[in-house]
Amino acid sequence: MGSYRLLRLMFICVGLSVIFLTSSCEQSPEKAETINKTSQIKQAAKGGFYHAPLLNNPATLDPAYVQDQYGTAVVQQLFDGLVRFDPYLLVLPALAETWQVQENGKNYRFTLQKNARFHNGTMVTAKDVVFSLSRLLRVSPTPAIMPQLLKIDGAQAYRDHHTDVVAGLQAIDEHVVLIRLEEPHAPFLTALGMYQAKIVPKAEVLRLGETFGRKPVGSGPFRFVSWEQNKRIQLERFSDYFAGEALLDKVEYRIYPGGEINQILTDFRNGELEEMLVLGNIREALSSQKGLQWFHRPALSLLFYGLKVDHPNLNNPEFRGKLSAAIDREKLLSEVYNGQFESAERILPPGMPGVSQEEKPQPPAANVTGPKESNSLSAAGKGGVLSLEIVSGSKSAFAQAELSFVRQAWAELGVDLTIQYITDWSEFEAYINSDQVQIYRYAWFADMPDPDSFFYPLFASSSPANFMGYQDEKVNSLILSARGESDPAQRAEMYREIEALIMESMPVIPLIYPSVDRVYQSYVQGAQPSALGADYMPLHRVWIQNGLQSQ
Amino acid sequence: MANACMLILLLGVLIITLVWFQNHSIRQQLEQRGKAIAQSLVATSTKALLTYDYITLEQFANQAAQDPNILYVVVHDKENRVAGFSNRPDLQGKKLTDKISHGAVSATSPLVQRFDTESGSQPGLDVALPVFLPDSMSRWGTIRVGLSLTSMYRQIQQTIWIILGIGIVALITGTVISFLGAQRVTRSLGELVWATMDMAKGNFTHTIGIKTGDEVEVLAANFAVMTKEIVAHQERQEEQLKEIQRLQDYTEKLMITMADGLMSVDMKGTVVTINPAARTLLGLSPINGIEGKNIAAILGESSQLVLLVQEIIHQPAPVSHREIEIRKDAEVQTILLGSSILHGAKGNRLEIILNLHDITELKKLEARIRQSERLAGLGTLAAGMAHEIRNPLSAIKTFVQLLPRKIDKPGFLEKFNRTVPRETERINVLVEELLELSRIPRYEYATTDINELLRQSVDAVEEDLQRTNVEYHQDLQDNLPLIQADSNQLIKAFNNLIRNAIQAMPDGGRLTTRIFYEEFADDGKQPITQTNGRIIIIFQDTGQGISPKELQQIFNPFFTTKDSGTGLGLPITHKVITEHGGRIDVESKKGQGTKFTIQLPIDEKISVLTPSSPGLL
Repeated sequence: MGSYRLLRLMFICVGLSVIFLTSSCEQSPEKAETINKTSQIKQAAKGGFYHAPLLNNPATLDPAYVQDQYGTAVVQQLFDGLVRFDPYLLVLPALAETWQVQENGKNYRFTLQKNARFHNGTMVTAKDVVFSLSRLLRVSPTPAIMPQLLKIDGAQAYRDHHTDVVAGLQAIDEHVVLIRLEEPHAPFLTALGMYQAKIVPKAEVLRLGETFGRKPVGSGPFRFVSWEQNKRIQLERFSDYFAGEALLDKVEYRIYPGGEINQILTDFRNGELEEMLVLGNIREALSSQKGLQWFHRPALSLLFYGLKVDHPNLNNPEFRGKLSAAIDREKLLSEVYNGQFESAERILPPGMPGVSQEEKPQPPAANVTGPKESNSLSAAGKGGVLSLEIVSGSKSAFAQAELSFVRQAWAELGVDLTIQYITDWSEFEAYINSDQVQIYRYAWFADMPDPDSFFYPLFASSSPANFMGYQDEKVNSLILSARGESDPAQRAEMYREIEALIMESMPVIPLIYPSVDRVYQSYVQGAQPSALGADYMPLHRVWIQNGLQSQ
Repeated sequence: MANACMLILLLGVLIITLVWFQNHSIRQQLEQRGKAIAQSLVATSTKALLTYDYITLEQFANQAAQDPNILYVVVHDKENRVAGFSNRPDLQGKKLTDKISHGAVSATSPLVQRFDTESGSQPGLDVALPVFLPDSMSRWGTIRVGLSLTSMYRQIQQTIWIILGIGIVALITGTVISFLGAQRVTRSLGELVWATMDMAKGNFTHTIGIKTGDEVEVLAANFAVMTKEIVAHQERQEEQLKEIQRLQDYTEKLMITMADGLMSVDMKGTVVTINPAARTLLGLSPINGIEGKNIAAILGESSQLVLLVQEIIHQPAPVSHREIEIRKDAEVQTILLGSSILHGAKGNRLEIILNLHDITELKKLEARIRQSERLAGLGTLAAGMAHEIRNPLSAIKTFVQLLPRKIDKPGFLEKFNRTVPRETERINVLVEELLELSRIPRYEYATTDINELLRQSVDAVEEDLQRTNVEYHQDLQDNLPLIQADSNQLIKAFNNLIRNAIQAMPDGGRLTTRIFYEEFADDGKQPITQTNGRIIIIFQDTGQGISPKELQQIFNPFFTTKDSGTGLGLPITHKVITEHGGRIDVESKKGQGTKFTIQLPIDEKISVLTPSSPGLL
């Protein structure tokens, strides 16, 4: 009787304490769940054939010589640099397993991955690194990262062929490279992540010479298989990749010369492409397809009309300003591009370190009496018709729509605009380099997340991409000195001034800040482009959800 | 049940309190953490904010948002555009228009906002910190950290579940225990219940064997005791019942056999019980239903019994014995009616119980006795009368006999004239008084005030009182009840007594009279005729007194101590008093005085009952 009760009481106490203990144990370790991480939670699956569109045939696949985004895309998969970028442009180790920055930023000591191999099986050594970086100094056309490379001790001398080796580039041993800079240069590490600074196999390059660009051998997650000019480039998984095998079996870059959007769209709809660009009404066109993954982010790029400033029709800054002002950018964006992009009134896109977007640069003042008060202005003023020509490298529907919009806008100014399309890239480049060009439609992508990679290539007098022929001493000197300025605030101030000066004379009509827009099929996992562009996206960790791919 | 409710209530309170506390404390923790993260971001991102280096700011945001509990990190530039939004590159450069963002970018001090995001997302806290340059008030941007409240809610949920779990376990265990415990009790109680049911059926033999060592056992033991008690009680009751039964039988037999009539009526006059004797007395059928009928209906409205009953019903005071007349066959019967009231438990009057005692014969007997007495008295009277008459008669006879011889004798005629008429007158008076004594009393009764009568008597003899030097004192009670009396006769009686008293005090003295009303209690000595009370009239003198031997004879006719007088005064007085239903007594002490006490009844005699036998003489 009494003992029964006692027994039960004890039982209860024990039971309760057990519950208590187990529950309190549960509470202490917080379940480390990733709450909002998107794709990593799923179990990555191996296999799949990835198809991506290229809007044009690359010129070459040798990283040192690649100048266009088409080559960039392929090169990104085939080669590695010392460092790489994460989707947010954070510098991460790649072929360099680790590094030390010494001497207050003057010395960079890279230790290479021990087991990195080239696709031909040879080890990646410090000598390859030295070779790859050295050759960049002597390559023509000048690589975009030249300004950073020239910071290396002895780079200039080497470039000028005064020396046979770059003094600041040393292979300490098999796997250690020491780079000495003349002075500390913060963007240096970033520059080493750019597509041109890929490490190439010295032996192979020396052996193949020019044909290396047609048969590239790199150390990247994918190896080169074949290239049908203007048709496709095929890659396949490199099984010895030091950072783990790629998940995709194969990659194919399908080439659409001239950038025929409709065809690309059709192919994407049919499931023949895993990704495609997003322009204008692509969103509408694909709205019926469920599960597509839309990617959008501001890009470090500018779509502009370059004006040949010394062309007789265009040599008046005020007139150029008028041309710019005549375009209702918001209207253009909503009509032609469905509001996809941001309108550009200045050069630096938002996000680029620089100036606040609120401060608008002054358009060319009305009372600027240019030295060449020419018949262009008076012709416009008299009501006469001025003929202008614009040349575009893309004949996409958007380009056409845009240009016709602009033509209409300028017609009100008394400008008769002729539109010319040169879809072959080399031809196009040649044309805009010539004296015939008046206005050219151009999209510029920054190679580096740095204002310099906008201003220098476009506006520096010695820059090859300065197709406008813009020459301004002050701007020039500012650009060069801003390069060397280490204080970010000071630098920002200088770029502000540069931009203001440039906009005063309006050698370009900034039109649009394109964004990085891609759409991926629903079964594509792990795709995350960075602000540099969708072409920059490495496919190493991209995978295809099993069973969903149609092919 | 109440315990369970209490427990549930307690649990509820506990849960609410704990939840609130946890909520509060975790919120605080989260806020602290958010602020800390934001603070560190502020420090690192100031430089990048100054140069609008979105690229760097976006990197910061992404890295800071790696903590699994952080939903997002946003860096706004000076113009409130998004410089970097973790994992949302598409938002870079945009201005956010939602309420939370608006609040965040407007806040000038650390601001914590709660958001419940749309479906699919999670609730959380937005901790916003404005970025100020170290020594200025100019704001260069805003850092926002979004913390998930999911884990908090999960924790709270866990707490709730634990408490609920514990509570439920406790509840269940408690219920089980109490159930089992109750079972034991129930079992015992069940036995008890059976026992009670048995008992209800009258079976007292069920013994309860509960040995649980708790209150139930006590209950059972007490129950057993109670059972014994009940059994004993029952037996007693049976005994009592038998006793009652016996008494009832006895009473019934009594009622049947008693000679007196016994009946009871309720306060409406309905006969409740009536015994055979009463039936007989009232001349009612011995078998028929009398009970239940109204007495007025049975006996008639004018029946004296009915009238009396009605009087009793309406009178609040108890009514004493009464003589009533009823007519039975051709005869009139005298019934002595005694009544008493049966009261109920609350003291209310339930029934009138009437005792009918047939005193017809008794009355007759009374009359006969009186007659006998009279006859006896008559004998004495006759003897006395003869004696008294003899002397005058012998004188007359002598003279008449001598008449022829001595007619011529001188003086004889004078002597003859002197003696014969005188002696003849003597005889006359005697005869008159005798006649009076023997007369059938024809009294005329009327409501009389005795006091008044006495006064009248006294007034009549006032002269004599004064002459003989007798002091007269009078003590008369006020508000005497009136009685039925023949004033003349009573006055005569009073006169008699007063005269006697005066004659007893030749040398003067005192005569005291007192009249008062006396209620009597029943002392068993009263004569049959009983009344509620009587009037006492006392005549007290201070005369020579009467010896005890003479006292005995004082009321006999012709007994006298005086020379003159017939000796019939007191007898006549006695007769008058007696005929009034009263009595007269005498006390005397030689040399001190004599006291006559007259008692006159106060009764509501309805009629004068005369003996049915013819007159005395």
